[in-house]
Amino acid sequence: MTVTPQGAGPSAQRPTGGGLADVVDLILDKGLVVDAFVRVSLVGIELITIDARIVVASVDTYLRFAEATNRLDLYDKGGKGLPELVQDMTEGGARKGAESKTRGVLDAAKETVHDALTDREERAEEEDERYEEARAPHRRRHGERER
Amino acid sequence: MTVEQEEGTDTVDAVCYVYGVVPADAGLSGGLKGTRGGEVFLVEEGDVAAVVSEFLPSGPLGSREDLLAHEGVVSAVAERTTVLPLRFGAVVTTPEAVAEEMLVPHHDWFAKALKDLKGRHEFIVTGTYVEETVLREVLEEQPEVRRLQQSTRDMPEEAAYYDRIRLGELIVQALEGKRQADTEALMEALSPHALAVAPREPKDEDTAADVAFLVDDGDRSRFEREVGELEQSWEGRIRLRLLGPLAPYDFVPQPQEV
Amino acid sequence: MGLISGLLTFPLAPVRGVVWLAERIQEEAERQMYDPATVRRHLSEVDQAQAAGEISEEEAAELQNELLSRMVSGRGGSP
Repeated sequence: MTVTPQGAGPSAQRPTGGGLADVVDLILDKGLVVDAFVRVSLVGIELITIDARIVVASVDTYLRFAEATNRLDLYDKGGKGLPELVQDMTEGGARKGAESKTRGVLDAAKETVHDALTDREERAEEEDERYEEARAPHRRRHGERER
Repeated sequence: MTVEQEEGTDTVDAVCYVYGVVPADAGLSGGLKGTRGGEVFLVEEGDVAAVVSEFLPSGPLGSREDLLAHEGVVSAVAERTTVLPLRFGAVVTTPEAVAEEMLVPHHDWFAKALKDLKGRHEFIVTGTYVEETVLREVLEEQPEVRRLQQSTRDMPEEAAYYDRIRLGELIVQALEGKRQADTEALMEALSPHALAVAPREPKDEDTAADVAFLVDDGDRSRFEREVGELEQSWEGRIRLRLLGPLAPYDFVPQPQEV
Repeated sequence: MGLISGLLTFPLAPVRGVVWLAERIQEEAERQMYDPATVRRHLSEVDQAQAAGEISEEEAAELQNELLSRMVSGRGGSP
């Protein structure tokens, strides 16, 4: 499988990219099941199994999202200073955005910070108005940004 | 179809690991190694062949090396020919048994499936939400979420415990709705360049979409270009990831469909 | 954090003593640890950490084998 071009630095863990989690999803979950074809000569070897992995949200999940939402409000007087904010964004980007076909992780983080800075100026002037505005704030922000 | 059997030095006999089925005239790259280092070879029967290797069983199968060995073989084969991939852990007694029990009785079924999938490969497109962006969306879209955020924000962690749970629950529900909408949008954008589409189980709450596509080799550039355009239009909201070309794991027919 | 929330979802019952409680905590921790969705998520995190250069391939391999061993039927098996 290819995710990044061959030979690209640390993100190519295997010669053809992709990670072990991707491999697990494919070969444990998909493909032809040999039992459908072979009975007598099947060798019963102990295997790792992967049960139906339906995402069931738990209390922990709910609390995590509540916390993430509460951290969102950046414009309180007691809110985070900008250096902390940049740190969090960069870490968040590195943790979640390890693989991207056409963009680096740091680019993604930088753009998020830029968005936050742009928002901060706007919000300081028109905080209440924002909630009543049209949906899809992200599209509006990107529309206003120079490409 | 002669197979060299390993000289057994102890009571444990070598067994035969099966990776997939290919056309009989497929060539294997020399020296391909599989599970526990066994040399990969073909067991031919008529127009089809099984891709196999032998090993001495010792303990369960499922280490990192076992998984990577399996996928490595299927990947290498898929680069050169059509392959019907088998699920991990297909172990049969001998190569002869593979031919007799698997290939002979189902020969025509395999041949037809190989023909249908010739010149086609699977791609998997996965989208992950940029959490901050979608959380802001939910805040803007749902007054109740806003209310709960404001009321729980400044309280210490133990207080307003149930309010926080409620807040999280509403967000998770909202994300579920977005996931459905974004998965549909993804499928709509990419289906014109694919022969078949198979949505996959979302792995966690941040998943925006997870879809497998069967793409004809001739359409591949168009497909990849479209993915690139989608990635740009979703910039800042959804991160896209493209895996492939892969063997058609999500698109092998089920045996009862013969 | 996870343990506290887990305890609060248990049916309310009279306190049965430290041992009972310790067993419930252990069960909850194990349930989460061996839950396939959790294992799958951790595998993903290891991939991302390795891709970002935060851990070496050897470290990733060790973590992955530990995670995979949780998926062997019967739990006790080692690959």
